[in-house]
Amino acid sequence: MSDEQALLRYDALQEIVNIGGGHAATSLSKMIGNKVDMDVPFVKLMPYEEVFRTVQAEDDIVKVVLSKLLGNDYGVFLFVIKPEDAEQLAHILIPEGTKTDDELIDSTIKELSNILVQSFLQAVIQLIDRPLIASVPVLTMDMFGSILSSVYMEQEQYNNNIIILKNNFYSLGHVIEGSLYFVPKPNVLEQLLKRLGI
Amino acid sequence: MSEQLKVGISDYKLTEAPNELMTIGLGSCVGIAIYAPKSKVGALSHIMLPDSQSFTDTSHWAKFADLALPKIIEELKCKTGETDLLAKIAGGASMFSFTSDSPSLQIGQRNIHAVKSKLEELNLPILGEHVGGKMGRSMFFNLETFEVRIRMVNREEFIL
Repeated sequence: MSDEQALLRYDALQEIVNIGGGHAATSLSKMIGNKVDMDVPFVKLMPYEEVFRTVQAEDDIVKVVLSKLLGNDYGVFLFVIKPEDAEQLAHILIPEGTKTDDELIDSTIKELSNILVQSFLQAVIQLIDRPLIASVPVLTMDMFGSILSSVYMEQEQYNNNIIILKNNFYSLGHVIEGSLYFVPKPNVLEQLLKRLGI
Repeated sequence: MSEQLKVGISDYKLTEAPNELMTIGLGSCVGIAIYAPKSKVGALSHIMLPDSQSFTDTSHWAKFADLALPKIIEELKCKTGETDLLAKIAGGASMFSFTSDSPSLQIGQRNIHAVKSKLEELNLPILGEHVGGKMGRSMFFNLETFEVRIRMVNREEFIL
């Protein structure tokens, strides 16, 4: 592959993540009634050590919501958020005076992640003209490193270099931060680019 | 001076007391502490996959249980001259459980199985284990005592 081709593919991937993420941010913003900002999409092939050094430390404790894409083995979405940010975000959505516990917070975060994923997918469906369906979300709280490596492994991504595709979302200035990752199965990105004629 | 050496994912390190070996964030991966008790030398391996057979590129041999364990054990035997080595293992979780996934397909379970059968084949007794479940683990291996501490989120520390 020439450098020019590689660059074009990189740009295309970044644009897909940008369009999907933009859609997701708009939905989230409507839902919480607050402005939601988004970073430039993050698209990078990097070794685990670099991910843990520059993206998020492996021993950071995070809440992660996972949604599987059903059908042709496409991959999974991960919504990653710090527990304290999850709590703040949930409180924006839960009516005042409601008695909150971890279960209610987690179920709110799951629903919110579901909406992010569904709106991301809607945008991608329009681009590639193919139906895409995501599973019911599941949530866990654990070390970022344990979750990330296990998820890549389960998506048959066995290399030490992994492709990180993600959007960072912010609300209330930079007080609340969350990231949406897409972890593809092998060859899924190639197929996606092919659909777009790249 | 004692040092704490960190073992990355699909890597291993070998050192002696009073140093400590550690690895952070085991999920479906398995950590294997191997110890030569007389010389107090040990190795910590963080394997990612059970089996190298379906891979053409195995240059990163430390990530496969079937390749890493024999090599590391051989290195430890050569270095210490000891033949009776000991092992403790942790990890092999399934971080998200979907009801549709059978245990035989779970990579964590396959990793545990591969590590145990390889250690048995190489005649290394497993003196302690903390495997399976749905939680991530970090391992801290004290080379003075062969104590292995397992740290998890929101749980008490477990000592092997």
